[in-house]
Amino acid sequence: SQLSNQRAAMPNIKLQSSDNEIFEVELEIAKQSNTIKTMLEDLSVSDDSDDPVPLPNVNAAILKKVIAWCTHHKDDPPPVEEDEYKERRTDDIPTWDLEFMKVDQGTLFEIILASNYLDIKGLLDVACKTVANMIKGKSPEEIRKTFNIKCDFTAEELEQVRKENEWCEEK
Amino acid sequence: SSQTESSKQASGSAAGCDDCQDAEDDEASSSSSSSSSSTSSSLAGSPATVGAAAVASGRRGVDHQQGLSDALEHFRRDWRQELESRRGRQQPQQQQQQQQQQQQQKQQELKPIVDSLRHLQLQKVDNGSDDEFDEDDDDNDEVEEETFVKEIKDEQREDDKDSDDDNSSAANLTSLPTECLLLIAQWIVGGNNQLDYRSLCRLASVSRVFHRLAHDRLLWSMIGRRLWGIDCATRELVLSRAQPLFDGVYIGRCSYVRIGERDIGQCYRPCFLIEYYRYLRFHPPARGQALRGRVELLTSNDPPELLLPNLSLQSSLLTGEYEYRLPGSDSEPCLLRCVFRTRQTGGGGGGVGKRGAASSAAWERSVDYFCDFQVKPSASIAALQEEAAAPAPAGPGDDVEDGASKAARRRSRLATRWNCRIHWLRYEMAIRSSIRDSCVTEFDVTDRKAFPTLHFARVKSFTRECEDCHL
Repeated sequence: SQLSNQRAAMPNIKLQSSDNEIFEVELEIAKQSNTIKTMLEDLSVSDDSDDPVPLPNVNAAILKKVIAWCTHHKDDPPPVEEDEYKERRTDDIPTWDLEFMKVDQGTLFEIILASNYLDIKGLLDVACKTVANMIKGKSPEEIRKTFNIKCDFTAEELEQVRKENEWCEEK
Repeated sequence: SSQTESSKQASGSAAGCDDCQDAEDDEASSSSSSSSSSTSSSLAGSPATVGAAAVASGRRGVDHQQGLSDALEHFRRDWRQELESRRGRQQPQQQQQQQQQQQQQKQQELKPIVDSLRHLQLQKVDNGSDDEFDEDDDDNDEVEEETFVKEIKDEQREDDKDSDDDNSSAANLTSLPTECLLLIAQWIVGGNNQLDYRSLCRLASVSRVFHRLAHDRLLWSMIGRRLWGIDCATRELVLSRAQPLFDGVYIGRCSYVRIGERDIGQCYRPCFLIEYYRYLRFHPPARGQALRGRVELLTSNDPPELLLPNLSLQSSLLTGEYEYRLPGSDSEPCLLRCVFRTRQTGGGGGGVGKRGAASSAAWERSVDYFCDFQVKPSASIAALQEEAAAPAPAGPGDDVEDGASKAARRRSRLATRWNCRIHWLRYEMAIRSSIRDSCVTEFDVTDRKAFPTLHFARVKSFTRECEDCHL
């Protein structure tokens, strides 16, 4: 808390993407990322240093998206630790997030990787939900088509897998 | 076997009749023919270690993450060096002071490349497939830099894909780390619903990566705990646990013999074999009610192929409630209790007469049907439990010993026909009437002709309905 008091005077932080682009964002927004939050608290970064926080796993394009999401969700209540028994619905994505996730698959997967790395639970959940919705209710062939996945089973394996999952296949 | 005949006839509209004997024979022969099933058994082995790392650390395992990111970073650096040596490009320095200068230098050296990239970028914008780069116009250099890195990343991903045949540069779902795929899978099986894990099982046929994912032990133990609050260590234990199935109907073919009257001039009494069908459809539990839901019962002369396409439109359809009780252990059958209540009034003008209310209804009669069924678990569940207790087969190595492949064969043989038969335990009819004594009639369900075992037949459209309500 002492740290945050010190920071309150200068509430901005610089984030450096993997391709060396610098983004300046409000500290509170950046702290939605647990990775950044922990980094700042544990490593006790001195407040007078103006060094950007290096994020070697996130490129500028994705970081920009991530920051946009965090900015929009900065007033959200902090995510609660989820009960394992709680039903996980995928049909409750807010409209803004639905629009936000209307990106090409490459970007979507990069958002998943970035939010996983930065540990932004809300964003990770929404992105995973989006992919889950793309998978649900589809046949294996449709899934392959949707995600451009090559079926890498051998003919024998394919036969075995087919038998194994015969009961849940669409016929 | 005459019973299975009838459900076979239904295969036009109701897929997947459950002739267990046939099916098992079928599978036995096919699996013995696949002599080199070593790879498949290694596929069946769940990547417990990776999953454990992901979940045990509450999906933010710093160590794991760090290792992963280090490896990634290392790879990226190596690769970039290689690329730069190929293109004769200077490595950008980390120091910020030098950065500006570096960029200018780089820009000049990269002039032809950047031009071609700009061309690419223009094409992209034309296609409307790229919404990333048409903002942020304040610094052109940055945009070019971004595009360049994007190109690098795409190329890199191509390399990652072990030079797949397809030449599209789109990122692939399979290139995500297992950790993230597990998170996605958790959302797929998120509803407290049997049909969600069927989605997961379908995923298993997509490719090797997904096959491994769909057999992940942590995922299945989570499903077991969520569905019933118990630990089911493996996929098989979840699937084989006694439970009613929702994406089809249970059909029983009943018959009885009616002795006819001797006709004039005939010297024998004709006998009629009357056949009819009993259809029972369980609906998935409503939200928040794990073990109970709606059930429909229909008794009809129509064979399944005629009736199933519009089962829910039948006028004589009885709607009731079912509830099933979890057995104490995996190997016990589960009790499935259905209640159907009907009410008739008559005699007066008002149809909705209540007992003791106005004299508008002369009589009122309610008939309640109580049906208890038993769902038997798979006979070999003990074997499965042993298997679950044994350690998971080691990683995705190609040489897997014979025992493991046998186990995989056995598993796949067992996989298809679970919970496909329900047996009668009790059938009671309670009649309460306002003008006569109430009476309860219990039927003899050991009469296998009148109360045959009901067999499951999958109906594709039911699956759709059930899944749609979750999307």
